[in-house]
This record gives sequence, structure tokens and C-alpha cells, in this order.
Amino acid sequence: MILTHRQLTTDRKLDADVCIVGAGAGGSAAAHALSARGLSVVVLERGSFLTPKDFDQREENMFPKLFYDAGGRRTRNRAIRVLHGHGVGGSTLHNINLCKRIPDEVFAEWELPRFNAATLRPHYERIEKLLGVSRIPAERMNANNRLFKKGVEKLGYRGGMLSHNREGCVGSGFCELGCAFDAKLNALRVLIPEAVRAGATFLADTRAIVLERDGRRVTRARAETLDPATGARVSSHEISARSFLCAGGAIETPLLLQRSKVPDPRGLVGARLHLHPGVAAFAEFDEPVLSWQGIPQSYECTEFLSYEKNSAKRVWMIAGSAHPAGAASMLPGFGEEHDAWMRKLPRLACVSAMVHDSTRGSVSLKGDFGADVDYVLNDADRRQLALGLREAARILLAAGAREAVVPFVTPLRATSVAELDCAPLEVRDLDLDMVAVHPMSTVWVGRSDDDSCLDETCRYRHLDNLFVGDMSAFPSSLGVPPQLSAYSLGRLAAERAGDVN
Amino acid sequence: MAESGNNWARPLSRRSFLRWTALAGVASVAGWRFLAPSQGDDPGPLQHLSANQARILAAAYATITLEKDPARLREAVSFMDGFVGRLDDHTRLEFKAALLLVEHSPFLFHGYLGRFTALGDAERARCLEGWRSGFSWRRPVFGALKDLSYLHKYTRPGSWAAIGYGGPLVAGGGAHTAFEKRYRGLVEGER
Ligand SMILES: Cc1cc2nc3c(=O)[nH]c(=O)nc-3n(C[C@H](O)[C@H](O)[C@H](O)COP(=O)(O)OP(=O)(O)OC[C@H]3O[C@@H](n4cnc5c(N)ncnc54)[C@H](O)[C@@H]3O)c2cc1C
Ligand code: SF4
Repeated sequence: MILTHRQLTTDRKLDADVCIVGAGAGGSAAAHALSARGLSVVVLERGSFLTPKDFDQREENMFPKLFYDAGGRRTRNRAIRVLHGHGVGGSTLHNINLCKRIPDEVFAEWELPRFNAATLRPHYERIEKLLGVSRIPAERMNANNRLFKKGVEKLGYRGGMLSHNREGCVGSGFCELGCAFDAKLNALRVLIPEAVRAGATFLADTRAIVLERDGRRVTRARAETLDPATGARVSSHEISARSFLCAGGAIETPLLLQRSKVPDPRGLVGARLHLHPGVAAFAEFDEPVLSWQGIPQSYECTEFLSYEKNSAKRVWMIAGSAHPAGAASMLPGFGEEHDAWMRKLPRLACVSAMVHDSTRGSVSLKGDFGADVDYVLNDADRRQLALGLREAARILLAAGAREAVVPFVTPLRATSVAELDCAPLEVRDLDLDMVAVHPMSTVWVGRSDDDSCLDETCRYRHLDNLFVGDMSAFPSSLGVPPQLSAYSLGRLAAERAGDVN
Repeated sequence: MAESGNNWARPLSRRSFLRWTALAGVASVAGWRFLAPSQGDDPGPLQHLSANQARILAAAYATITLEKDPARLREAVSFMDGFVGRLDDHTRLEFKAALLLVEHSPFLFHGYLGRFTALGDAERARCLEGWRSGFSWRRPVFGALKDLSYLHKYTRPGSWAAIGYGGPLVAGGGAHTAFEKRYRGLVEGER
């Protein structure tokens, strides 16, 4: 059953085999796997239970319903917007459905004998089957992606079609605001209904406050149900379980562990944040682009992406799109200057570049529930993003753009490659908008107590019955869109969490 | 701590921001009475912002979006008031402090003898340009005002024709129920 703030009007005490915190990719995959084994599962989810009728395709309504801090969460220095979702389905409600596995080179770098490509393979296979992962047909490309592909091919760069998890997609283009057409084969549509039918209980609008312990065991989770409209507390609950699996995502999971004061002798929890920060270049074309229509991202350029250790090519390029308010926030200036840009919006194409980051940041509590995300790009990653911006602009010019623009505070504008190549291009904080949508590796798997929070079964090293099953658990940047890995990791963590006596 | 190879990359010094904010606060209560705030229009009922904060926000909104109509400004302020309520406590406090600093910034940074809300359009635009492109610790404040202003402006259907945007595809702003049957019976007590 799913219980929301409407049902959870009185305090409850619940008992389960496994209590899961977070109903996103990892948490719902874990709930799905555990309930299929016949185990009793209680899932706590801070966000609401939203179904297609709730996704009204309005930015002002959906940002608060789908994102922490209504989408306004930023790094401590304010340089990078960090988007992280909530709701029954977590970030899979609003993500863009791109599907990739972790490359072998990344696994190899971790050198973990029991946490490698072979360990995750069966979970990837199962998830890909459940979510109907398939190649996006070339005829589904929208104009923005077609122009991107044209530029990539003209320059002889490496590129290709991406894979996704959609069925019945009408190409509305509103993916980042939730799918009103229920075409996302995500946690909400696939895993959660099956888990519920197998007996799992989901408490929506309910956040885990702390995990309480007795010695080396977590004994119960304390949680509270909040009214989503006002934030006021509606009721409080205690959930006792044999094991606990944290799947709150790479920002919230370390915060829950810090709030719970779990033993952490080396202060590792929250300490190794990667974000895949991204930047975007725009270009004006003569013909309409209408980048907000159709599947937003279907084609990739991997010319500047290699997973070799210490590679000098670590940027991934894809098409970018936004609805008007999102686009307005990224386009340069204000007043008349900005107005002129917005009038060009139908003819603007966008390419974004995301870095497979070597920067390490950290996450810690700000007050009781706020997130202090401390992340300052290192020079190597800045150079990668600068490379990505220049190449994104080059690709757009090669595709026939009238003018390419990098929206720095003083925008870089180029009508030819010669002009682009002459222009100095540096990525400095607060000089252009940076967005991160893939937080990861804040409570990571490793070899020993000295260098990691989790063992290779995703068990928290200092407690016997606490597991992590979300993006926090990966030891480094993955360099690929992470949702498949989060789902798979949830299943992996559930294996051992379900065995605890 | 985040690892970083470059120190110049830490542009937002919280300390300097707070110092200036404190100065603006002292200024507003102590000496600079002659820098009278604009009485402005009544911002209407507010939940999270004071009337003064709302006036500062309205002035910034008008300069950023070029909106002049008092009724639309009131609606914008009421919308932004609601959004401020969704910020976490720390960020909300910081935002309010930043508004105070914006109000006194003409005197502190630009040599104008007047508060932000009392300036004319061109002077306000010059001040905001300072926030947009000046010292990098000021830029996030401009960014927040810009994001909030355009979130309101470009989510109003009236703004869409000019930018070629057709709006939502679902009828009646979200009454799209064809797919609900997959979810029927999942919520306790609902069929
Ligand atoms: C805009 C955007 C686009 C993206 N596009 C793609 C894409 O195309 N392909 C891709 O592979 N990835 C994409 N991602 C990333 C992907 O969606 C995430 O990496 C993935 O969902 C992470 O899974 P998770 O289980 O770690 O966390 P999430 O899916 O974020 O789930 C965590 C859940 O836990 C809940 N929670 C946290 N703390 C608590 C608590 N204390 N109590 C109760 N509940 C709690 C949260 O509310 C949330 O619902 C995108 C992300 C964003 C933001
Ligand atoms: S593009 Fe497809 S998946 Fe995305 S919101 Fe529209 S119908 Fe849904």
C-alpha cells in the first residue's frame, strides 16, 4: 500500500524485515527485489505520490513538487545549481531517461574484486529488462538533436544515438517536469506498483529523521509525515526492522547518516562528492528549432570522452533543452538585452557539456535538514568544461548556426570558427550558469575501513545491519548518466540487506 | 572540505557578504533616514516577506522584466513570496538579508543618494548591472532575483506568444487522467 499525508494522520509504529529510506531509483529497485522475495518492506519517502494527472507541465508548479528546495539548491559558493528530486519515484520522475552502464575502465580503476562489472551485470540485465531499455529510433530526434548530429558529423567527431526507457512517448518534451503521458518506464510506473502488489508499504510525504542504534545495530527509524502544502508536521512514526537500507540519493543519504551520528571514526561520510557539472552553449539558427519539443536528448558526442585513467578527454556532450523559465535563467543579461534573447528562443539550439569530474566535494548538514554542498571545481575540470563549451559552439557553427553564444556574464559571441578560436574561454565560478544533475559517491564502497564507508556488499562498515543502495555508494564519478547504475545498486544492496537476521 | 587547485575560484566570501549586509542593516536603522524608502504600492497580503522586502523585490522585478503594471507587479510579488516560503530557513534568511543589501546598494556601491526602491528606472538598472557583473560575491544575489523574476514572468501564459512557446500540451492545465488506471488501488483506501 501507499500511504500519504491524507492517510497518515495519526502516529504509527511499524515493523518490517527491511526499512528503506527513499523511493527513488535505488530504493524502489530494492523494495521491488525484497518484496518479490516475500520479505516485508516499509519505504519512507520525503516527497509526494504523484501520478500522470499531477504532471501539469508547468515549471512553477512542478519544480517545488519534484525538486529539493524547488530546484534552487546550490553549492556553497553558489556556482553550481544541484538538482535532486523527491517524490515516490525520486529523481526518476523528472529525469531524461537516458540509459548507460558504467564503462569497464571505470570499474577497473576501482580495483574492487567483489564490486565490479561482473557483480553488477545480472542487476543491470534485470533492470534493463524491467524498464524496457532500447535504442532511441533516429526518426524520434527533434530538431535540436538533428542539428547537433549534423554538426558532429560535419566535423568528423564520434557520436551516436542514445538508449532510453520509454514506451508510448508522444514527444511532448516535458520530461524534466514529469510525464503526463506516463511514457517513462521508471520507478513510478514499473517498480513501485509491482512492489506494492507484492506487499511493500510506502509512506509518502514522510521523511526519515534519524536512525537509532543499539550497539552495532540500527534498531529503528524515526520519521515524520509532513503536509506537502505547508510543510507542517502531520504525524510521527517509528519503524523497527531487521535491516535498514538508505537510498535517499547522494545528497540526502549522508545527511541522514550525519543526523543519526552513525560511528564514523575517519569522518568519511559525505566526503567524496562528485557531481558531473555541466555547462551549455547556445546558437541561433535561421530556421525554427523549438528545442523544448520532442525527446529532449537522443544523440551524444563522445569525441572528447575517454575513460582511460588520467585521460585528457573527459567531457560528454548532449543536446540541451529547457522550458521558458529555465531558458530565461540561463540566457544573458536582463531587461531589454534579455528580452531580445528570449524572442530568439524558438530559433535557439543548445548543446551541453558535462564533465566526468575528478573534483571532490563534500556534503554536510546545514541546520537540521538543509544541505551544505561544498564543491569547488579543480583546474583540470575547469579546462574540460572550457573544452566542452568551445566544442559545443564549434559543433553548432558547423551545423549552420548564424551565431554561437556562450552565456558568460560578458557573453562570448562567435559567427565563425575563426572568431570562436580567437576568443579566450575560461570557466570561472559565477561567470556562467553551471548545473549538476548527477550527485554521487558520498558514502562509497571500498576496500578497507581507512578509505571507504561501505564494504563490497554495500554494508556500512561500522554497523551490522545498515546498507546503502543509491548513487552514494559508487567510489568515483561514473562518467555516464547514472540511473541504471542506481537501480542496479539498489538491487545489489538489497541482496544482503534481506539476509540479515 | 572540497579539494581545489585554485583559490581565486572561491569568489563568494560569506564573511564579506555578511559584513556588507550587517552594514546595510545598521545603515537602515541608524543614520540614513534621509535615504527614504519609496512608499510604493501596497504589496498586498504576504506570508513570508515584510512589506518593505516586498517593495524591494517588486522594484527589482520591474527592472529585470520591464514590467510596469502595478497589478501585475503585485501578482509577481505574491508569487515570489510563495516561493521564498519554500526555501530552507538558512537560505530564506540569506535572501532577506540580500534584499536589504540591494536596497542600500545605491549608496554603498554606486554613490547614489537614494535607496534602490526610490531610484528611477535607469539608475536601478545601473545598480542591478553592478550586481550582475560586479564583484563575483554579488552575482548570486542578482542570479536569485533574476531566476525568481523570470520564473514568474515566463510561467504566465501571457508571455508565451512573444517567445513562440505554445505552453503545456495537457488539456485544462493537467486534467490528464487517461493513464491513471495503472495507479488505481495503490493508495490505501482509494479505489
Ligand atoms: C534533471 C535530471 C535529469 C536526469 N537525467 C538522467 C538521465 O537521463 N539518465 C540517467 O541515467 N540519470 C539521469 N538523472 C540522474 C538520475 O535520475 C539519478 O542519478 C538517480 O535517480 C539517482 O538515484 P538514487 O536512488 O541515488 O536517488 P533518487 O532517485 O534521487 O531518490 C532518492 C529519494 O530518496 C528520498 N529521500 C531522501 N532522503 C530522505 C529521507 N530522509 N526520508 C525520506 N525520503 C528521503 C528523496 O526524496 C528521493 O525521492 C537525472 C537527474 C536529474 C536531476
Ligand atoms: S517526451 Fe515522452 S517521456 Fe518525455 S514527457 Fe513527453 S511523452 Fe513523456
